[in-house]
Amino acid sequence: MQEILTISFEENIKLDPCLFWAEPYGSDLIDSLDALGQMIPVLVHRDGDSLVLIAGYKRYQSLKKLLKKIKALRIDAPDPWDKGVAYLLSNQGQGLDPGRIIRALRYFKPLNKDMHSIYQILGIPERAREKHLYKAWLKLPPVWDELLIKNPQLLPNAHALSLLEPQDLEVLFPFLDGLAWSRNKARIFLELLDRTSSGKAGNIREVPGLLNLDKLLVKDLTPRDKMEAMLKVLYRAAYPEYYKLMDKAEKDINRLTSATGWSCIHTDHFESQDLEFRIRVRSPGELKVAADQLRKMADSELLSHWPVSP
Amino acid sequence: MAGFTVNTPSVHDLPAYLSPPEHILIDPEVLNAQLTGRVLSRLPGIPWSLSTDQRSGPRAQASGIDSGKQNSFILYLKHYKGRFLRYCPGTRNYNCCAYRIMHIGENCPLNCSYCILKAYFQDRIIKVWANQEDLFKELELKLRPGNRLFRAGTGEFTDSLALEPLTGYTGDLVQFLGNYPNVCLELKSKIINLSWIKKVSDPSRVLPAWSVNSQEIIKTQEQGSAGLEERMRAAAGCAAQGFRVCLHFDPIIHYPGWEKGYALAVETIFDYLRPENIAYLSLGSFRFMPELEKMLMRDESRATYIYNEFITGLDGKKRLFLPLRLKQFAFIAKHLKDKGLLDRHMYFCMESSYVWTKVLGYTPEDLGGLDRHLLRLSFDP
Ligand code: SF4
Repeated sequence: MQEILTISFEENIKLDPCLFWAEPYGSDLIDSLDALGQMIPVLVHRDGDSLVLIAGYKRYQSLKKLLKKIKALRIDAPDPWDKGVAYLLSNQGQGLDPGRIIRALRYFKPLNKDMHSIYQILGIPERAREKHLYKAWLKLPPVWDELLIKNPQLLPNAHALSLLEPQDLEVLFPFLDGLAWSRNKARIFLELLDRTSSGKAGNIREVPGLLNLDKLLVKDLTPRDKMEAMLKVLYRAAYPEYYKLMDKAEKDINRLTSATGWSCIHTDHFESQDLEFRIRVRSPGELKVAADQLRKMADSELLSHWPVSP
Repeated sequence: MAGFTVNTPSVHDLPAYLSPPEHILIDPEVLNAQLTGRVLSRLPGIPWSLSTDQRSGPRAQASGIDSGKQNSFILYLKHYKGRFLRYCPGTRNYNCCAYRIMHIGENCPLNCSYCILKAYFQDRIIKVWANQEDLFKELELKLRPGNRLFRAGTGEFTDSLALEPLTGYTGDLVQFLGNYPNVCLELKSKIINLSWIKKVSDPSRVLPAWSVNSQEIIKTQEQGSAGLEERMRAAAGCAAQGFRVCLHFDPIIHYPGWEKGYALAVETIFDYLRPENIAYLSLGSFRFMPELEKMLMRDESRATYIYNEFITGLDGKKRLFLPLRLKQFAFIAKHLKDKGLLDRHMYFCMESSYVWTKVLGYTPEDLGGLDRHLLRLSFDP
């Protein structure tokens, strides 16, 4: 049975959990309600003596603020699934981002029905990679949804995260919470943690402590510097031999080019022996000096062992 | 299922590594091919159907057939329209052995954790080019007897012999190549199947080849393959029948205890073979496309070696950090030399001249080019 009710703005209506997108309302909605009045009723059902709002949260809040009466369509108490679907459909057309999508999915998931139609309403095609990512994200504890709401860039890492044990997730949470990881940096961060733990620590949860990442996290650095510093530490832990040689090579290069205007780099991870030398000169005189320096460097002992011996 | 035909049921007499396919998909053009008849007669009871949807490909059709059971596969007898004889896809930055690939099919029933084919073909459809007469026509044209020498092999996109009990492909091929003394055919495998031997007219023109590795790697990473001793026993059997064999230490994997593992592998090889039985031996460090790395990390808990220090090489593939590679190469090469294998019979698969010089003391150019050198070794004992 349905009926149209007119409710006083003073009456307190309960909010149903199906209002998974309930958010603070904006002034443009208040203005339009003030100017045009309420065109569409909000949706409620009765629970004992109280009314429970199941759709129209923003309209309801705005009308209360305007001290206006609220038109409501009362329907028979639907089951949670139908309530959710009604809410979803009444909010269709609103911009969807990973945060909103995960809130909707999180509501429907425990209701144990076929989620197919929900993905459809949310505009996620059956075979889309995105669907797998959301499914993986739903395996994480609900508290992780807040991270996705703050940083949608984390979604592509859902699968990697979903494979971690609860204790690992707990340790990782603060590392992903405060810092605005890009999609790629977050992937590298997780991959390096995995690498390091497989080689040394045994568990991801032990890596931050072992490598003092937790200390870096609370250090007085910008979030960007913190992320850079953590990745650097992790790279060194995951590729110890590589960095040992890299450090030696850098030391040799510095000695080679010291007291010259030349810079020198190697970019091939030691797969080639190539070095790139670079200098900027402003006059033929400077060029002559640079040529002399280059000749001296070519004769240097340091280059005869470059880059490695077995 | 509608539209499927089922052969008369019977027990299949297949080796342990090869379970019968779940289904056989056949291109209509090869329904009457000799190879198709042979496969169907060897797989009684297995349902088969004609491939109907050539446009969307067998993958779409097979997705309705594949039960997804572990080790299950669909055998696709295909009317192949591409080139059968190809160049090895080596890259500019590393020295390639430049052998010619005889393309006879794709994918493999074995399950090696590191198999690059997983990244190439992300399905369980094993394809066999059933239009052999087209293969032979193309070979006739390109290999004309008396022309230049060719060193060729079939083990690039599949194991050369793994499907032999079903297809008899290699038997047909060696028989055909009996008329081409200018071709030396290498058959690279990880299983034991010597059924093709009776069709060989000149053992000096066929090189049975086995991939070799440490016992630990074979046991944990090469599921379904024969053990090293079995492989070497078969190699010795071939040597006794006048063949020389090739061995490929590939992929060499860096794992805790690798020294012991690879030293023992060398011992095992020479328990069965004499240096002169070996035409050549390659050393190849594990290298892979970045996609494979992600797959292994995600799906293969046995592949712990993937967490090692791999860097991106000059060809865009990942490979073990150079000093670690050099250490392994030097170690294995020394053990091989100690057993009497001449270093000129060893080569590196896709390595820089720097690696050659560091380990062997010379470069492929010093040998007149790796391709020519290996061609000489294939033809001249
Ligand atoms: S035998 Fe070769 S082709 Fe077959 S799975 Fe192993 S690596 Fe791949």
